[in-house]
Amino acid sequence: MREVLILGLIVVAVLGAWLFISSTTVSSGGLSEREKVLANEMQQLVDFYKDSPITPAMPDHKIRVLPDGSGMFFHFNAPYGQDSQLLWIGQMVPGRFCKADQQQVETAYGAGFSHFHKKITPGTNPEAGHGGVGGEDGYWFRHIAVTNIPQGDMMKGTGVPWGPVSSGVDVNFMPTAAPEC
Amino acid sequence: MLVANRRAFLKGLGFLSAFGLALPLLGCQHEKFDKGLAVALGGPKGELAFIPDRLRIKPGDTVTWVLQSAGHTATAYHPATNNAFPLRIPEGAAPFDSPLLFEQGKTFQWTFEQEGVYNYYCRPHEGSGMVGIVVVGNSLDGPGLALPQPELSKAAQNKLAELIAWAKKLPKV
Repeated sequence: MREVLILGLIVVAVLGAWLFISSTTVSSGGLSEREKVLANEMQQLVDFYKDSPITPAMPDHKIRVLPDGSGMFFHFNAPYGQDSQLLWIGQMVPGRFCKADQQQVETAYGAGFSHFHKKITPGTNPEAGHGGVGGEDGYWFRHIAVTNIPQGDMMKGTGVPWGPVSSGVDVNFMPTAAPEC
Repeated sequence: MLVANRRAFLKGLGFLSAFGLALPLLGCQHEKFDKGLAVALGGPKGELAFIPDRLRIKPGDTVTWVLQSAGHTATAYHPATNNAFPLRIPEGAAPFDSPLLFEQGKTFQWTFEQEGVYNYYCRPHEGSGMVGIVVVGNSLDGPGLALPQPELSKAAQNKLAELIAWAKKLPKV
């Protein structure tokens, strides 16, 4: 009988401890304290990437321009918001849409600047700003995948057409073949 | 889901019909030349594609590209349009290169006088595999049927390989 009582006390103590720990680590929104800290840190980071060097702005990007004119960016799978997922981080360096400029950028910063985006694109759709005609002003982008991305259809959210991509420098990211200017 | 897909399909179809042009549906029988010579630039949901992405026409036919979404071009693979790219239209044929179109419904037309196989791309979206093919007449050879070169994006190479395989199976008309 005494053993049963002691065993019961142990069970109650363990359950109580578990309930106490749970109540201190899970918020009302279902996030643990750690998850809340991470979410706050991510928001703090995204808020820091507040610049718009490209017109029209790309809603799935968050950009921070550095004093030397180059930039760092986050690239999400969709316009940044509650359900967006971070797929790439990267660097962008100002330049012209010319092969020589691309080579100069890669000599200075390293390989992987596969994608050019115009600084100013007529119209309202940033999707039209990739590449261009020789000599246009813009930025050379180097994308670094933060996760593995399968080959698929970007519009359907199933992957990317130049994939599959392994985390790391995405050397095939939406290449824009630059002409000799 | 099915209803939504049907609506999107009908919307796309209606858009092209508005220009009085019939949509040569994907998968249609290419035993004869295509008669509806309209190509949508971009899909109704912003898809990065020419719709249809393959046409077979007669010499002298005119193709009309109609902007449906985003900003696109219809540009022949020719060093004159971008010297980073190889020639992928018939030797001696004039290269076409539309302006970057922004407004929905804007069009670009090109009359194909010379027989042969023409590969073309969208300037902003070649890297995403937005490419197309036009087969003019019965001349099924030339640079437009060559293996896609490494200068082309990986996505464009994959798509063009599919289109070339389709072109090679076309019967003489």
